[in-house]
Amino acid sequence: MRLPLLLLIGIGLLALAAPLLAPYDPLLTRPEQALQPPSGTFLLGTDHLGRDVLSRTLWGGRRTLSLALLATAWALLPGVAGALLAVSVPRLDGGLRLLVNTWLAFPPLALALLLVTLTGPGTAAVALAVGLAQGGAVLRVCRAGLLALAAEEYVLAARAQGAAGWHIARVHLLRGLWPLLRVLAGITFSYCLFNSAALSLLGLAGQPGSPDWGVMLADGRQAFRAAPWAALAPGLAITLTMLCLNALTDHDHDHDHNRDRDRDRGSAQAGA
Amino acid sequence: MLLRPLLSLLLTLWLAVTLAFFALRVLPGDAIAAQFAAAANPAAAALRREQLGLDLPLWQQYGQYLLNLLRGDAGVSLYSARTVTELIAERLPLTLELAGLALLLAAGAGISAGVYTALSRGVPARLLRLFIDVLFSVPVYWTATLALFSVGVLIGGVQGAVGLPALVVGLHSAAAVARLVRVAVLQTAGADFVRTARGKGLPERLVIRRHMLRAGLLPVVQLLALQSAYLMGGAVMTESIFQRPGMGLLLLDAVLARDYPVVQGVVLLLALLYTVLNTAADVFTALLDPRIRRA
Repeated sequence: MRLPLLLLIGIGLLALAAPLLAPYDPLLTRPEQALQPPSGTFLLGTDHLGRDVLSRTLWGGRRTLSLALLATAWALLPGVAGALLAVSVPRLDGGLRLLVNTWLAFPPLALALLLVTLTGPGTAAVALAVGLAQGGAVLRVCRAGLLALAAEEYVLAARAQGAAGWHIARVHLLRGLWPLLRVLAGITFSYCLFNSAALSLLGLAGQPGSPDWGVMLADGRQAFRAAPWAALAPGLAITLTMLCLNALTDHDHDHDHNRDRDRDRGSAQAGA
Repeated sequence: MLLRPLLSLLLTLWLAVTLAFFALRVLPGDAIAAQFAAAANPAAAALRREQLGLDLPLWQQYGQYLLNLLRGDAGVSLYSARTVTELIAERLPLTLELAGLALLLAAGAGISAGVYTALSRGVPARLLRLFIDVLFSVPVYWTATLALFSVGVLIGGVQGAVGLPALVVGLHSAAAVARLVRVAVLQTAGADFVRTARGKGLPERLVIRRHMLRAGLLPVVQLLALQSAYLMGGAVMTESIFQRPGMGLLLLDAVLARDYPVVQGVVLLLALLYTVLNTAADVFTALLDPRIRRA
């Protein structure tokens, strides 16, 4: 299962190197060259305003992926912090649980739309809205993981030795949470990519002409019959990225599952 | 057994309403001011505010809002002067039609594909699994675009028909259901009650039907509740792609126009649906599962 990871790294590098690789300015319109099929001059053709699809796809990856990354940070930060708080300060746990239940009462996309209504459309607003909409789920999963960790013997031992609460949280809990957090971050990133591209597609993430996979897909759909390439490139880019992400998190998940099973089997044998 | 989930359901809903109310009243810039800024007409703005009850103290507005909600009145749209309830009632049938058909497809195709891929080890089952995994990862707006294109080429326009959107959205949900069913059925394969059933000499056919499927299909109840909520919430996307003027498009237009009462009304309805369906699925699962029932 190395392939999805390599592909994902490749997509990330292409997006990072967009300024070096893109043959043209992604915003430059040439009305006389509109809807040109792929050719030697325009490797992936041009869109309805004559903009180069290859350059826009490369720059679009930069925008779309960084938007999703920012959203993921907005989901993980309050999620993990809230979970740590709930586990370290038991007095707050009840209130936080109620808050999370309310948070989770909203379907993520609907909650994101509600938040975008508050802030008004824009890139930063969409990242915040999409991320926060996912934060409740992160908090719940992390809280469960941390509670299991807090009951482990080495944490109890640290507590018995008089370690400070924040020391336990930082050294034992956060470090122990890492394997769970890695998988959770992958899944959250995948949701955030899906939802933030959806909001761009709906025209809520900033400028209509900006190079962004969601925006390109929305623009390209208008002329899909005459010039499928304009929507094909961004559509395939999103699809490939999502496929790799899901294959990777599935694999991570299976891997952890197998390891748990092996460990259980090992301890059963040790006990026998 | 029903009292606790019901109480927590009511508490969650009340909190959701409260949060939605205060978020939209306290945080944003003044919607009315924005509406009348172009006309620079403070007198008209004041009058409009009075009509909408926005000149009252916040707690009084909140109390009035709660009372009105209980009577099924979610306020008036800022732009079209029609009530939110009216707008939703007008658009909801289109959304329900699509979500209902998609859910039927998701349950039917999803469960059969899940059971089939769990029990069969042949090449067709493996290919089906690959197809399900790919479909699960592909964004629905991309499949919808491709479907619209291929059908457009084959038959010409399909403006407004429910068949194609239901097929596309339903197949995506079916992929999620099939993945869960497959894992759930496989997990029961190693369970003690299945070994016991085999041990007492029950024919394999009956082991599968009576024990593996019955236990394996339990989590599906919850997933279907979740999927129907997603289908309603995802209507924003499907309806905008397929140009169906349902509740999703109503929500999108309201978000773009920053028509707060409409956004609030639709989102709260979605939250209500989501919470009620989830609670119902919990209760239903408990009724079906003797292990949880007795616990």
